Amino acid sequence: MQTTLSQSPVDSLPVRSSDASFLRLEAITKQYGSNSPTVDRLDLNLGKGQLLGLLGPSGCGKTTTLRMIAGLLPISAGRILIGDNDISHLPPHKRDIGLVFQNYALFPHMNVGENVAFGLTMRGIGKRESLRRAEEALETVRLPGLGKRRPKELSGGQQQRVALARALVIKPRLLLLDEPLSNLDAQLRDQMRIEIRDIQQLLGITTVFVTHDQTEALTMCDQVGVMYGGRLAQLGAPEEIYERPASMFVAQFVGRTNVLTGEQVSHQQVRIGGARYRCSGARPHWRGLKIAIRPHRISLTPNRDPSLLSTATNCVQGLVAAITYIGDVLQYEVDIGCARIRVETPTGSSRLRYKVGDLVMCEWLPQDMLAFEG
Amino acid sequence: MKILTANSSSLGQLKNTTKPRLWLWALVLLVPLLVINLVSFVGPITHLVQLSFLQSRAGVISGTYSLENYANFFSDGYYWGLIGNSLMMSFTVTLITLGCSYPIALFLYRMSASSWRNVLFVLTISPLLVSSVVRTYGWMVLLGDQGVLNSALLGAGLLDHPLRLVNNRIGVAIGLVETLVPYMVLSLMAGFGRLDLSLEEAAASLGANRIKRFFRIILPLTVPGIALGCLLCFVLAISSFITPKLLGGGRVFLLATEIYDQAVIQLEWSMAATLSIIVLLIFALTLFLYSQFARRFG
Amino acid sequence: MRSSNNNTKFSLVVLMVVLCGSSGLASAAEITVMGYRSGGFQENYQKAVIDPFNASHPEVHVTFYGVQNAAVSLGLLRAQRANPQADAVIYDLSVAKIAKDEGLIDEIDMAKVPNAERLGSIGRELGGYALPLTYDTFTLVFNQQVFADGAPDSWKALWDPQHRGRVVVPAQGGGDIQAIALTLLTNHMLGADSDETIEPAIEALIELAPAVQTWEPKPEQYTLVANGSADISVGWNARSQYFIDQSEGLLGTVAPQEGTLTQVNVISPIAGSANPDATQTFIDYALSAEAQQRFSELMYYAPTNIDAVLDPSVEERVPFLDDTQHDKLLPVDWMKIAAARDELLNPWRRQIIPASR
Repeated sequence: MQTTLSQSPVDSLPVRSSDASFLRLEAITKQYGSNSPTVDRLDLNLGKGQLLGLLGPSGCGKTTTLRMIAGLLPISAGRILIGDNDISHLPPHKRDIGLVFQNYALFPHMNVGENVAFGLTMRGIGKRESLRRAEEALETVRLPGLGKRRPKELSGGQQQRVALARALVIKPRLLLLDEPLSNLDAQLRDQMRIEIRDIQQLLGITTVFVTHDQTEALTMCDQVGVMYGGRLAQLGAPEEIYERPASMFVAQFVGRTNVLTGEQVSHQQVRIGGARYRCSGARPHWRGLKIAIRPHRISLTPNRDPSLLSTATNCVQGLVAAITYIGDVLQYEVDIGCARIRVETPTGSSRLRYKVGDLVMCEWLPQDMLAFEG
Repeated sequence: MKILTANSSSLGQLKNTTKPRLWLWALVLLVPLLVINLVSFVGPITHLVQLSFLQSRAGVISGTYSLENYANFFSDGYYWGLIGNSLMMSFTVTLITLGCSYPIALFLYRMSASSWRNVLFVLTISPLLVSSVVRTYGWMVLLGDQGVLNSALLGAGLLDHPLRLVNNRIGVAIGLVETLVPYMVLSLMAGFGRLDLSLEEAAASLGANRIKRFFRIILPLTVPGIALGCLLCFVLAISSFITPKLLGGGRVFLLATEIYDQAVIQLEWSMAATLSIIVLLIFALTLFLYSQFARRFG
Repeated sequence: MRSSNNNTKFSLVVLMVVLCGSSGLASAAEITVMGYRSGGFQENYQKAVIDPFNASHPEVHVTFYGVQNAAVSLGLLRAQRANPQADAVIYDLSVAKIAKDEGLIDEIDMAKVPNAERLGSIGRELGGYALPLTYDTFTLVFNQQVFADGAPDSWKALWDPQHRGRVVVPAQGGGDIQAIALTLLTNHMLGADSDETIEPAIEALIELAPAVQTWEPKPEQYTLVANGSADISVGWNARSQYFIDQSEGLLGTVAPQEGTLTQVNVISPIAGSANPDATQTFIDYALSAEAQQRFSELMYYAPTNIDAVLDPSVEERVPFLDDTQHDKLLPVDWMKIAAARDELLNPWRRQIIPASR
């Protein structure tokens, strides 16, 4: 595979280049009539060669944002810049942006080769030359020799690759992917995820990737933008999003989380139920306090006297209420009196297993408690 | 493996026992349709074929069968002229209808589902609710020498003498186009199934401007609808006689009007039957060409 | 489209005839008379002939069944040959010839129809198979405002260049007999004998063609001329008079000085009628002087019964009854014309009308 890729006809750009922002969205807004805006004053900077994942629930405005970048939807306000060019009001065919759709949008009346060559012929390149380059692009996506087939004769994954080749063969300044993997089955999705990432890295093409699947966003992207209600709830590297979510929404949307209601006792302490826990990050002026803890950051230990435990960790006694086996993890529902929390432990024969009705100690580090107002 | 064999053989048995009964049911359910078809289609057509071979003298039909009517038809330039007129008129009308209907159909098809779309759609096909005779009289009022249009143009001083818009081919073409537009719009929309906005967007992102998108994407994808609409309108145009009768002023001679004249004016039913068979043959040819086309592009 | 239309029409006709036939009293002989529907014919025939007949003949009940034109009557006779739904038919003499040749009509027993002896000499060619019921004449129809200085007095007025584009000649779609009439009269006007050639008429009509607005007036030429859409046309006296009354004098009609010709409507008993005696009773009544007088006074036909005398105010509007016009009537052999319809009509569709495009 690597050899095929290195023979890519598409000129390689310097991989993973500067941080200087290449795609800039300045307060772009989409508003229909007097309704509340679908996308509300969104600012975003993306460095050249980076892969940005726009993540969010349906209706959060991520696809609208993508379509505005592509020029398929006019923006209501703001500016879109690629490099130093303001493309805010360019029609889509002049934007030089590659686009891959969720449904692939292959032209059913053309064969695969003609599909891929379409963008080249639109650029005035002769038919033979276009088809030759199209064939090369098909090799890049590991579909050599399928040029004569009709799109409907291909599998979903193959169609996806054709769509990718078609978008890339025109060497666009920007590649936009709209939920490209959501029509594929789970196994193929994993494979395509890697392939898309490889090709993107190889070509160093700046890419925006819209998805509602957090795994895709976290595993593939350099930057993840979590969108909510038409705004960017958080923009950052995957790890930052996961470890330091900016809001309870992000914490809940990205990865699984336990949400507990508490109150601040001091700068270093919060109270949940009757118990006190070491936790920093809460602010006194907050009207309410919500605490998020990831299920797998909690460890279970056999029941013993809490006073014997280290004060460096937080711990609480609980009763195992339910157990779910999910393959790679065991999920316990533990009743801790004031709430029922979810705890995940890796499976493995060496590990202790608890039964429903067992008394256990739940332990976690103070820094794994994320405090939010609410 | 054993289970599989057992299964498949029991399945085969099941098939053998149920098949004849299903077949019988299918036949029973088909009977009403067959009867209707026999009475309303096969019967009249058989009679028509029979009539077309009967000799006739001055309207008096004798009992003798011969090829006389067909010989008269093929040896007489007048009838060839009629075929030419009819084909020419139907082609022209079909093309104009397509030109008028395509934008309407495309617009309606692309409109997001809303009550406005429903209103516009109903408006487009609403002419079907009014008898074509009534509508044709409407055209006569609009297009006549003293009609609304000519009065307005003469009144505005744009013309010195009225435009001849009825009682000739132009009038017939206008009337037929108006009659056929709803059929064309319906067929086009029925054939627009492959049209998908994302395809146009994909083409746009690949650098195709509006015109290229239309000719490279929209048009090829709507070819099935175009073919269907053209087939339907061509067949309807070539067989229509009310509109040519009312708007042609008696000077537009088509196969369909000739059949009417032969049957009702000349009282030559045999010749009328012969001409009807010729029209049926033209239909058959049109359908054949359509099926060939559909096979290639469908 | 066409055949299904005819099918519907046909089944409607059958349905109506069946309904008509079954609705009356069982004791009286039920007979149905088929005839023209439009232009007041059905309405006036019912009033002038059928109602009085039904009142004075309790043993017979007559129903009138109106159709569009003589060709439709012939079509129904053909379609119902095995089981006719009507007993008598009123239609054009030339169509009656075809019906007779195809054996669709019966011969009247002259003994049972004494009034047959009292009929005029015109239109008797088919003997007992078709007896003349009405006489009508071909006339010029004109707009009174256009001809404010005086009515045209010659067929030549059609050729007058000042009416170019405003002349209506009903030759298509039901205008067949009028086309034939105009051919014969034009030929006659040009001094040619139609038995030998109709070429002079055809040439003259080809010359007229470009001036013609429509060959198939919709609505009828009387309306188009009355409402000013056209200046001049040709038509039948009876219908012209009807439209003169309707249009309150906007329409005018005249039998030109060159003379005119007569169209004959006849009545025939239909072959296979279940009630031939009652049918002949009715036919006799229809040909009686009183029935003829009443109907002619309503419709401005000339009566075929020589004993019928019309009111003078009606009589002066019927050219057939005018002595000078009657003397100038062009004798027409409708039997010969029935046999030569093609020769007379083909030039219209192949030469005359195409010259107007």
